[in-house]
Amino acid sequence: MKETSAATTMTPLVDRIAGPLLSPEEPLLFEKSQPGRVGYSLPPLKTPRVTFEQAFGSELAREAIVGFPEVSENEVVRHFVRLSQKNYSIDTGFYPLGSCTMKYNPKINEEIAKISELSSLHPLWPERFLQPAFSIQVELQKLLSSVTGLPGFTLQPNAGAHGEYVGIKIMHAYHAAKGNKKTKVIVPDSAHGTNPATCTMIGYEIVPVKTGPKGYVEVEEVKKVIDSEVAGIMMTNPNTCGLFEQNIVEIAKLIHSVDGIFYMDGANFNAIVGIVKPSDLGVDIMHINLHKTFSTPHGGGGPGAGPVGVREDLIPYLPVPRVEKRGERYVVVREEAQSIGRVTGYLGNFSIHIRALTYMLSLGRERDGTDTYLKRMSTAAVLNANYIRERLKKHYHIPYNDVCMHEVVLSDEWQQAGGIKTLNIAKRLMDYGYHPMTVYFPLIIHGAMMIEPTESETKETLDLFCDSMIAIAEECKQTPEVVLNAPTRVNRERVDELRAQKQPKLRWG
Amino acid sequence: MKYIPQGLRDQQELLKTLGLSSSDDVFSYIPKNLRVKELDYPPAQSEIEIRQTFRAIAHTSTAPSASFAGCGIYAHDIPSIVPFVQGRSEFATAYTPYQPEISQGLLQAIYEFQTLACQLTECELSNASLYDGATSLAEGVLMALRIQKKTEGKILIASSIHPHYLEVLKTYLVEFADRISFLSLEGDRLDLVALKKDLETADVLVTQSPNIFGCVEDYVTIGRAVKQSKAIWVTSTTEPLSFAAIRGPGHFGAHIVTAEGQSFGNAPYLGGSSYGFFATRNEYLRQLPGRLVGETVDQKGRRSYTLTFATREQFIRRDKATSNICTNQNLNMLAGLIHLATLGANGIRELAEQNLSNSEFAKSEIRNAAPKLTISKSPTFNEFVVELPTGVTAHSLVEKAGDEGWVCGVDLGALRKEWKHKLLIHVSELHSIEVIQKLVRFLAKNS
Repeated sequence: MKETSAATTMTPLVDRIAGPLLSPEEPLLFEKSQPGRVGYSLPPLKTPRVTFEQAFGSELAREAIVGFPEVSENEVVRHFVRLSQKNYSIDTGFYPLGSCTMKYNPKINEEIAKISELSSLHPLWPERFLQPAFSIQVELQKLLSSVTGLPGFTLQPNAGAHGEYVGIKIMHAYHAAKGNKKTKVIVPDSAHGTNPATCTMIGYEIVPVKTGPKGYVEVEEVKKVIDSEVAGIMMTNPNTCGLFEQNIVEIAKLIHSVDGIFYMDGANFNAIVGIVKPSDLGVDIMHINLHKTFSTPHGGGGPGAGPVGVREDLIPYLPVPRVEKRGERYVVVREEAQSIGRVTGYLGNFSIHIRALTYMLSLGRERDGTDTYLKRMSTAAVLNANYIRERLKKHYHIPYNDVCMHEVVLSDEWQQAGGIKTLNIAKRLMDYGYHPMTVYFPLIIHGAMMIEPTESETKETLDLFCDSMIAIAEECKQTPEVVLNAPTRVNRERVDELRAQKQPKLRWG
Repeated sequence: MKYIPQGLRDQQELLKTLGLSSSDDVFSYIPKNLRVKELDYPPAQSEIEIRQTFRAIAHTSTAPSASFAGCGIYAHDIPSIVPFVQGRSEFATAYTPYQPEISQGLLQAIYEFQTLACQLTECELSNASLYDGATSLAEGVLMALRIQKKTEGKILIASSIHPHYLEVLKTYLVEFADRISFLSLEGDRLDLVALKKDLETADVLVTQSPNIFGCVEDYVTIGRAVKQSKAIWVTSTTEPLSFAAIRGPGHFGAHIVTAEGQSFGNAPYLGGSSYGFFATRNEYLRQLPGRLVGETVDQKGRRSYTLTFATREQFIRRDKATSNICTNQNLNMLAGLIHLATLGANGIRELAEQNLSNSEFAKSEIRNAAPKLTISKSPTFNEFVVELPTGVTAHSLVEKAGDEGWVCGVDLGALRKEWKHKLLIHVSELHSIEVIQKLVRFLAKNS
């Protein structure tokens, strides 16, 4: 079946099929389908054939699935290789997406994760066959405890937001067990959207606090809203302005004074691994994004993993099942009276745990035994961000121009004259060969542009990026139309996102 | 350190630009007393050492020589092109495709997945996938409650759903706990007489097919009953390959269809990572959790794809979002998409038929060889329960096979005590006649 949309019939052949070399137009799988093409091979059936109709009756049994494609194997490969070439990735180039920690994803992680003795493990096999998986999970928990100072960990959450869900459930269970009447959670206005969304899922009311003039949460602001009904606070540290929260210890004490729980969103942990242990700040619960700080691939949107660490007295509330070492054997504990329960089908994203442990072992103590490579990692990430800040501060407005952590946030304030907005600058950056930074976040900075270089980049890369940003700032003054029309040198020019919503077409056919 | 290009010379240049004297100065905003003095941490390992470490770990158990374990996670053939294509850097090391101009490949792939998911489930609308089958079901029920907007009706849950799924549901529905009630069974399938009565007071109906015993529920009758009620019907499927053999739940009138996706393209990996299907009707678009890709055009009128209806999502709506979710387990979904693309219309049928035929063969061989064992007459796809006689527990059989170095099935008693005589056996395209015969001899000898 072929479908040709009105937009393409008028286009000359050369534009329709070629596009820029290495970025060809690629039809949908369904449009490539021809009856009788085969992309699979199976051995002949050796048992007596049973048809669907015999097994399930004519009302339940299925005929051929309408619309399913028929494509040969080589065409499937070519299709997806071509699609892959239409994506920017870390392995393609610099990816300064703030708060996402787009660092290099080591290839040894992938090799180890593909070991067939690990990938083939079935979660419901007898425990004797699962010892390798359990030891990997327990070892990973141990190292996460080392760097956070939090003694209890669960690896079950499948993503950062899932970790937040588990963390706030634990907060809720703690208060329920103590009979505390708690109804609300304090969330600073610079928080990621997942923080308030998570609290709502668990039934807490959100109490926002305003970020102070220097980009920090102020103790006085927290004092204004704190009372006995506050269940806790969710804070990201370093915060989304790229700053280390100056009052964090005092705020933690304040929260503890009403028996509240201090939840730290670990999205930005990459700045402080080996530098600060969150437990020393007064953190009670924290999630970690293994796909950010510990180098597992983002995968274009998952799978990630969001392990959650807790202080000693919160361990009983961690989800089940739990893997524990008893003597020389690892066992699964399936029930625990105070646990928040099960949050995922089996034992979390084990395939991601393997990769993260590989990375954490690779970045252990240096040969001379003094420091860990983890500390070097965080130091380099922070130095790189500050270097960018220093180089760009004369060209872009930096609302909180202080020594930053792993990311720096600019605004479009100085570029607005010609009608230019942050989005235009971001799109223009594509023409220079970069993935744009995070834009319009945090919400408290008008036209925010959040840049996180990570430790993975050379000084030359940073310099070329800064030169590009400076050149764009210059274009904003001299040739604003160039910036307003960007991008023009990539696979697609401005994609009409509004039309996608006004005339929804959410599947082929 | 090979992942950190910043050498001493680079560092000095950076510090000089910043006007700092040592790299510690960059942390001057962190009070000294809060900084780590000593980290308890093992030495760094080189690649050679990493390989040795993990090989040693991998060999702390011997892999079973054969396995009949399923129960939600199913080993199937994975075509060689799946890991080959899925592992490409351009897919694996990209972020969420928020910038459509440089992410068309991923966006098109998601759009293709949404289409295939609709075709499989016979629904109008699918998202880009969720975490896994269990959390998809939980999100499905939360969505059903949003649609109903009522606060008193029952949430009717089939007693035949996978206990892990039920546990996840209970975690997600803790504030609705007093509204949950269970649908009783008639043998190993839902009691359809009781269902009709229970539906009168229900807001939400939750069913799973094939169910925990591998049995295919009668969605024809259930669908008719639902149509005469006001309930929102949420379905779950742990084995999505069954969609190739049995009509999609959407065809029978299910409002929200969820399923585990692992069977397509993903190795078991201890049950994670995988992905969850989530499909529904167009009318519920604005209640849908998770990511969605739509077709549009670019400035030059070329067909393009983009994330859309983001106004449902947390990064726009914050505390008013439909869910806090912000991932779609993209690479797992991609593996599923590539697998489905190679199978195509004919391959998926043939694969499903081999699963069904091999499984039926195993059933009849066991019936012949071990008359003391009971296998229900209810229809099953590629998984069935062998009911063991009093005095023989599934646990003891699993342990015994374990001693011999293989896995004869899943002891359902480990999931729920009253099922201790039920051994759940999964048979797929990967099981040869010889391996099936080994299972049959084992069961005949030990019953």
